[in-house]
Amino acid sequence: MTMKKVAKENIDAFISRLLKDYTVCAPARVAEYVTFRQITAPEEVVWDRLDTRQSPKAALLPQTEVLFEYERSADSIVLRPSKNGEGKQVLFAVRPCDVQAIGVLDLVFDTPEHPDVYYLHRRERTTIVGLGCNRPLSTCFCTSVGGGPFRKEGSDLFLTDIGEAYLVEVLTPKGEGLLAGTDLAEVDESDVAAAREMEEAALARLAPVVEIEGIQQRLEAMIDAPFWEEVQATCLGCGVCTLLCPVCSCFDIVDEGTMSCGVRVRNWDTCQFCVYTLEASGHNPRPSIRERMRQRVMHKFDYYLVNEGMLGCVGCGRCVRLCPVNLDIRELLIEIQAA
Amino acid sequence: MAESTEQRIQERIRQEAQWLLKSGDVELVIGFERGTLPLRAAPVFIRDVADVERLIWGPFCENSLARYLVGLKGRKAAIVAKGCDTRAIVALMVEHQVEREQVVIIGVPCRGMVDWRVVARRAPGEVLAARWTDETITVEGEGFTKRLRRQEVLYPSCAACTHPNPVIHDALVGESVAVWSDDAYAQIAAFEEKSPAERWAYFEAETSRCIRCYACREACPLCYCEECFVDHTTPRWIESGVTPGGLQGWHIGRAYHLAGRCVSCGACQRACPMEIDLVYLTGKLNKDVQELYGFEAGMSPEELPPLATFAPDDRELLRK
Repeated sequence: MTMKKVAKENIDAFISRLLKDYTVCAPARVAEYVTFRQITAPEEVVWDRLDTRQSPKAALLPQTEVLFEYERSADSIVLRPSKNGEGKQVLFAVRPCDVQAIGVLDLVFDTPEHPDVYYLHRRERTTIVGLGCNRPLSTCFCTSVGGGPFRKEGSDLFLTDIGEAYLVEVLTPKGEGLLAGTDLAEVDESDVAAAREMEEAALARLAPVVEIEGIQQRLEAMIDAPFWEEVQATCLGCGVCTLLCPVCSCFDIVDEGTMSCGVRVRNWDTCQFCVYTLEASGHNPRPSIRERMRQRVMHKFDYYLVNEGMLGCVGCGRCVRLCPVNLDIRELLIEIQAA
Repeated sequence: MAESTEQRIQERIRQEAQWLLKSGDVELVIGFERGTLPLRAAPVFIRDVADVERLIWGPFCENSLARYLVGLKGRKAAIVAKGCDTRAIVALMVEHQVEREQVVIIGVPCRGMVDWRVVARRAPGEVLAARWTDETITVEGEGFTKRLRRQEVLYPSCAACTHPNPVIHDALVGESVAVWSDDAYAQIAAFEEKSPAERWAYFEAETSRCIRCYACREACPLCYCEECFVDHTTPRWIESGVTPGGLQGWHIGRAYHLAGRCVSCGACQRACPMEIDLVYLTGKLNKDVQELYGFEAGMSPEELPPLATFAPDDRELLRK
């Protein structure tokens, strides 16, 4: 692994070079908040915010994506593939939790049996530049769910803010490819020490809030517990938690159009909606918020572990911050462990 | 320091809750408890007298608890209700969704709810603690303390509110407050001043951020349809995705279904994770209904919403 540094005054030039060859998705302002979106100039990047409203998930799995177009005439049906370009993209200044979430998406969409061509088309053209979290928020809980503020796994390049410069760690050849032509300086011991200090200070703010060990077994035993009836009481049944979640990846496929022509689209879906499990007969195996909320927790902290070997939660805190009724997943997990 | 009005209200809410649960008059009390974040409160269902101390009152009790009433299925409940929430209860009674005998209304004269996002943005760092008086809110974080005037950080619907006092109640747990807004529709009038192109551009920009989580619908006390039009799939009424057609269709449909029924509580906008302006649409329709029919939703248990009434001698029919 190579380690270099780039002075802060040179970082905009680096981003400008990226913008020539790549679509760049970075934390940037939208209305009054900061969220991941495509940027057109380096000045748009907001560096100091951890609470991006949405993760860069949509850059790999768009909320609405045309899979193909269809057209039917009297004697034929024509299918045209969707126009997903050959362009390459950089997901820039992605926090380790969101990078970890992409790792989970990879496990879901890149399986030997069912490789998802739409996801993989984008994923293969994507390079991830991670950014360490010097000052985690009080709603962050990555260290409780197997992550960390400087977790590098999954990033192609990793940046650490060490004051006057960013430490740049090259983790993959893809990451190295981004650096061509960039004014890099050599790293000395004091830079490495500064990065280590940042990490230690960040970790000091992130004492685990819940013990995850054993939660899967506990949940298995709780499927019919009265607990779910109690905790679901105030849940609105909206999709905020799941739609803002960087890990949630459920989708629904719909034909939009008429009998003669139209498109087949894939939309994000969520287990929190009544129609998610509504069957054609009218029967709904998850008829109330109780079952749907349980499903969300079970999937993230039980089924993901069993099926993918990873939790379905990365501790980013989006659902904590934005639940309209302040249902806090951390509290829920603490209660489950205490049950 | 003198006890604030809201601390006294909190005490009164707890006393009422205790009395109601002890006497067996209600099965549960729907109120607010401390949130897990400094600028939040959380709805809570209290069933046990021992838990009444969990009930709180303050500037972050922003949810419309009236939205829980339809789901009670006959259980008798007490509910903590601000002015707007009591209007929602009245509207639900008029629409036969809630029986008057089913609810005990603990009415709270409201000083307006504080927009936690605005407070968070005005603070120089992450807010880790908050305290408040009747007039101010003080937030603290690492290395800063900042005091804000509450009137400056109210939700838009609260800043414009002309009915902060309960319109119906069984117990009133505070002195009536003086109404601070002289025009409920000032923001709407400003919107009407814009050209059609400007209005469309605003609508388009706001709706384009929607992620179709339907938090607006779920937070709304008057959105109680068993099947929402967007969830209907046979046939599908609007596009399914986050396309302009799908998003604009949802927002137009939602607003129109609330025409003359919306009680201007602003719960939809508070719930929105994408900070989309929603209340100008329902507000415009409210203003139209008031101007055309002299009707404001949720003000009288006897009066039906204009769009829910039909008279054979309607002069609109006679005009033909």
